[in-house]
Amino acid sequence: MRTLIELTVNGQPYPIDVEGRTRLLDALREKCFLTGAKEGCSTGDCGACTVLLDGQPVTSCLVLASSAAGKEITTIEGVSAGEVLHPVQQAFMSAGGLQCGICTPGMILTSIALLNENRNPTRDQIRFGLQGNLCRCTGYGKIVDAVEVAAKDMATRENGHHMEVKTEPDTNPAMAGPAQADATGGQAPGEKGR
Amino acid sequence: MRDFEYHAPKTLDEAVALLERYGTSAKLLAGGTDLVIMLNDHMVAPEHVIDVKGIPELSRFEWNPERGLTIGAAVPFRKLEISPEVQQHYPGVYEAASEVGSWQIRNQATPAGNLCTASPACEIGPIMYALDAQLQVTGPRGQRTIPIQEFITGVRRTALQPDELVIEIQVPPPGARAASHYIKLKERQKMDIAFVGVAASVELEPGDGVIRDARIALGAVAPTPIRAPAAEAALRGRPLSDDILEQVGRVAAESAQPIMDVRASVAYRKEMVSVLTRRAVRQAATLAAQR
Repeated sequence: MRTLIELTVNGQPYPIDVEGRTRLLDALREKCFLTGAKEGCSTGDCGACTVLLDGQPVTSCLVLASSAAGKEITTIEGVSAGEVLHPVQQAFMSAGGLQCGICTPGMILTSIALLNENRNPTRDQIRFGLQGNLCRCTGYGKIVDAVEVAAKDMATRENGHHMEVKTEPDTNPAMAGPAQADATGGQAPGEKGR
Repeated sequence: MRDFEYHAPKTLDEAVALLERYGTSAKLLAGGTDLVIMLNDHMVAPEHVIDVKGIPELSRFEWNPERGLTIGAAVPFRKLEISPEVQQHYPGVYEAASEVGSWQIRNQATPAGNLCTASPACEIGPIMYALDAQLQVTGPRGQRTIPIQEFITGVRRTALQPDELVIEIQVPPPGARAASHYIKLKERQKMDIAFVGVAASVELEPGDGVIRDARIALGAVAPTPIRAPAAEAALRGRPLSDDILEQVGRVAAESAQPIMDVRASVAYRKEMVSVLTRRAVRQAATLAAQR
């Protein structure tokens, strides 16, 4: 049954018509024409379809589009400020944290959520945070390097250097910090970090 | 996936009315990490899907020293993982919650949904058995409380009627010198299913190391999570020692009725029940002694 819903993606409203069964992943790719989220396994295992829902990473292949109406959705298309890349995007480039690139949008979004909760994660905490993002090229070492580089870069920027990346929540929800982290004291997902 | 009508009730009454109207042609949706996969694979093909995440009562997540822990049916695992109260009062629940899937999955999947799916390897089942949790459910005939051991009735079967829904899981407060622990044995560090899961909850007598009460529950070694009553009895009234742990592990393994599958043999699973029971009981007792 087709219904009209409105998704809020990267701060923009997207009035779209969906079926009950339409997954968020399909709505983003086929209705909003945002193809950054990739379809990998379709069972929530690989993380290629990761997007942020109210600042928290979810696998958009297991979310119904209708369930996401009214929430802030962030896709990879929304993390840069125009041509100026997000520090995490920049770090994935400079550290070589990608090979074929299919997992990269999900990796970057999960990394942004991780760094929003924990500005200075250990390598174990980074691995724990990225446990749901698989890289079939197995380029994990440099992906973890990239998150470390991004963490340092973001710390430097916060310590009074020129801010190149806009951080207003209305233009860049990924940087707004997840509401859930505030409610729970902002603990990192790497608490267990093995 | 066959199409269906999506409903998002805002109140419990609305949800119950929808269930009463649509009954077996409806499926309840919480986190969706099981249901959407089943829809995709045509394992289920409901005409109606009722998303319960917008019902405020189902998002209740509260700790109270008298009433214990309340986990609303729409509360995701991630809330349990990062809750200081859960870490402090229910270390076994923290262990079990943080072992589930990935960060993404824990943001979506809910403990209540996990119990309703009732897989034999159910992630949160063993620790909920070991903590004597109960489920508050509602439907057209009113609310009722179901002890966890009566809730899961078989492989993917529960006592929930087609027109009922879970409101919350209620976990009683731990005793003064009690603690719990959960160990999940799996092949990979993350994103894996348990070969065997063992949960233990141990309460010590005040002032010494004698075990006042113990509950041990096993996962993935029977059609449902099961308690190991003989192993529990072997612990009661005795101080912890290597000899007793040896006996408890052996007796627990006798309670297990595992299957052989692609992941492990019967003998291996039984042996692991023995080993993990010893470890889980020892860890729970160690934590309890620090209280």
